[in-house]
Amino acid sequence: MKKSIKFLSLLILSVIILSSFAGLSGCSLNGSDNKDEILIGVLAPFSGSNTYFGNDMYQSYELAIDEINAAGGILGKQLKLYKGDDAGDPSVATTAAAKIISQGVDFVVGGYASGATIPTLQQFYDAKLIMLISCANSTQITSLGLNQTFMVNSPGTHAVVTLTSLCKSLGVSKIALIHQGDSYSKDLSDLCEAELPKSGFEIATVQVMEEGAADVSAIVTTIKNSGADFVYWCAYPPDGSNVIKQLRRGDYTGVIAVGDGSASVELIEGCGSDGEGVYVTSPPFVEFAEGGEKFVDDYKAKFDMDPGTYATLCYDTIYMLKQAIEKAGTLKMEKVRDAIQDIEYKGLSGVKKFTPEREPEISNFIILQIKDGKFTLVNP
Amino acid sequence: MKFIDWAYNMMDNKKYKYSVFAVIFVIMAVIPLFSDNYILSVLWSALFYMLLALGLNIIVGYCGMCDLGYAAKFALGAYTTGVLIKSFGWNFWLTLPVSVIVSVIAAIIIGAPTLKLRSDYLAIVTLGFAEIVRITARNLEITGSATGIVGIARPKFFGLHLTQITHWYYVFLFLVILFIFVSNRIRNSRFGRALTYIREDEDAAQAMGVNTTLYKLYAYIIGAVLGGITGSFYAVRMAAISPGSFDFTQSANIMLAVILGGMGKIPGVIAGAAFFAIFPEVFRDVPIIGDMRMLFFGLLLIIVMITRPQGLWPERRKRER
Repeated sequence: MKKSIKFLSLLILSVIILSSFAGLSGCSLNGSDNKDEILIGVLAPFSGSNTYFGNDMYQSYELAIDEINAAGGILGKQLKLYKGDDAGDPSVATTAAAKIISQGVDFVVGGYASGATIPTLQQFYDAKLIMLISCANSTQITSLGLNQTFMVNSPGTHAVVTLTSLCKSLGVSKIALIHQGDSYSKDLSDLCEAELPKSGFEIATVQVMEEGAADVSAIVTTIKNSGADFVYWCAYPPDGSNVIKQLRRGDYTGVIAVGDGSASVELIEGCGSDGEGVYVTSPPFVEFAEGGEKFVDDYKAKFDMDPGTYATLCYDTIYMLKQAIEKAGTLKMEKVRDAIQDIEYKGLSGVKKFTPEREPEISNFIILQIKDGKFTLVNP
Repeated sequence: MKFIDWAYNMMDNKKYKYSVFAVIFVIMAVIPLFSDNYILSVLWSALFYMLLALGLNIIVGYCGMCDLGYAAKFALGAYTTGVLIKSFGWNFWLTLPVSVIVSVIAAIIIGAPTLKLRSDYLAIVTLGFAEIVRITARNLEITGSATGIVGIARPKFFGLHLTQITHWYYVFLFLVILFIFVSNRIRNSRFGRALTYIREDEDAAQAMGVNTTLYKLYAYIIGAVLGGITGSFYAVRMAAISPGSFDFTQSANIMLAVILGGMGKIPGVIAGAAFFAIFPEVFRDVPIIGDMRMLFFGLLLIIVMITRPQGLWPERRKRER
């Protein structure tokens, strides 16, 4: 018995040592001397709790490059993707970025969690690479002032604009905000707290829910006592559906809305019948995009699953890059960068133009409502 | 296993020990000449975990206290440096003494009331303190709340702007050597022997006239200071810090590196940290195993704990005369 354990551990140890040689030597070297292809690095979480989003992003990029490759590529060059796993963690992300850079990529796309994306931006900047951030939309990204970083997704400020128009159309006045204290949801909540009063709304209360807390009755009671007629959940689906359920079971009758982080079927499944009527300020869901049916069909046929929340933005990222490269007529970083800065691209997620701060000019947020267990579009 | 024991004895032998270490560090020093940024980045994270593990080793390994919140000490250093540079425009090198002072104060605040008691209480208090630090950082304006501090200026070292990964690799390599030196000096001092005594039998140590509370507090302070210094360097290396980097998982990871390697033994702790940092990276690209690497990691940990409960490279103190 003892002997077999020792043998097993020796075996595993030797496998590890051998594969570490194989692994490290495999990852090194190999720049892209091969100039008949364009290598695009993808920085996204492929492990950890956001793996689902990372894979969805990668698949959307893959779909776009396969289409482009089949149609002859860009400037006659074929596209290729290269994965870098940031695991949603800042220090893993910097390693992943170094790995992407050392592969000699020509462009970088991706970026899911803002916290993991921000530390890598300077690295890409120093390596003279253009980074197109498809998902992460913290306002901190622009504050770095790196002129090779473009945000494809609308920043949180746009979500607040969309939210304001929703509140106006519903005629509500007192708003309660709930966030979870993480970078994304607190950022969104702070923006709402600062911007909504300017349009004449009153912030009744701001609540913080600890991640994974089972009992939220204290939050429910406070919200009911504050007299808020509108609740905005700023964070993610698993806890969001719990909050919505407990609000409804606590006989809360006001309007409930959730932010873009919760815009996924996970929310509908989690809430069940209590989710009926909940509003979502959502990123451009492909089902509601003009000409999105083809994308949905192709995606389903290729990966045997439904496209996720950020699929359209990622798909558009690649096509926007294509348009910019073709306009520049070269892969030179400065030329392509200027082409992106001046771009006017029309894709599934609407029209993309960039402000001088390299944020999108036009909000791509839409308002959805859960009806009969499905998302339906409220405003065009 | 015979071979491993032989290798350990070889390393423990005074005659070979220093030459073996010298060879290892020469190899480490020339690696940047041959490798790309990715490998350096992985090795950097190994060096980084070594620093944290060496710091925690003073508390856990030398003195046998259970600290479940080491990430807090590291966070204090990182945030002290981050805030002073970002909000007050300080020079990085001047922030180092401040972060040392902050670490000492924090260690005294936590340590003084709890170290009189048995180690279990310290575990609970440190766990709580780590959460307090993280949640405070998440909510204060000056620490950039949940987003953290972004765009911390990289320091200059005699006119050389430390921006490249190669620079940071050498900085952290130097720090590891420094920490090893400090740990080694402590271990071989009267103070170090007293700590071992406390770890092995606190009552007997007290009976022999060792002021256990004071010595435990010293060990705790030294561990906290090493963590704080590591945190300061981490902040300028990453140029961005956020509360997410200092959660309980981080504390557990550091603890894991120390326990895996062998508590109290410097080479063991270093090996544990290196293994912990390099293992997941290496396996990322190996097909099939890559997706299950954490499963393998867990399996390996269990096997190590069954076959070598003292860690991969446990301490075997020679009889003092």
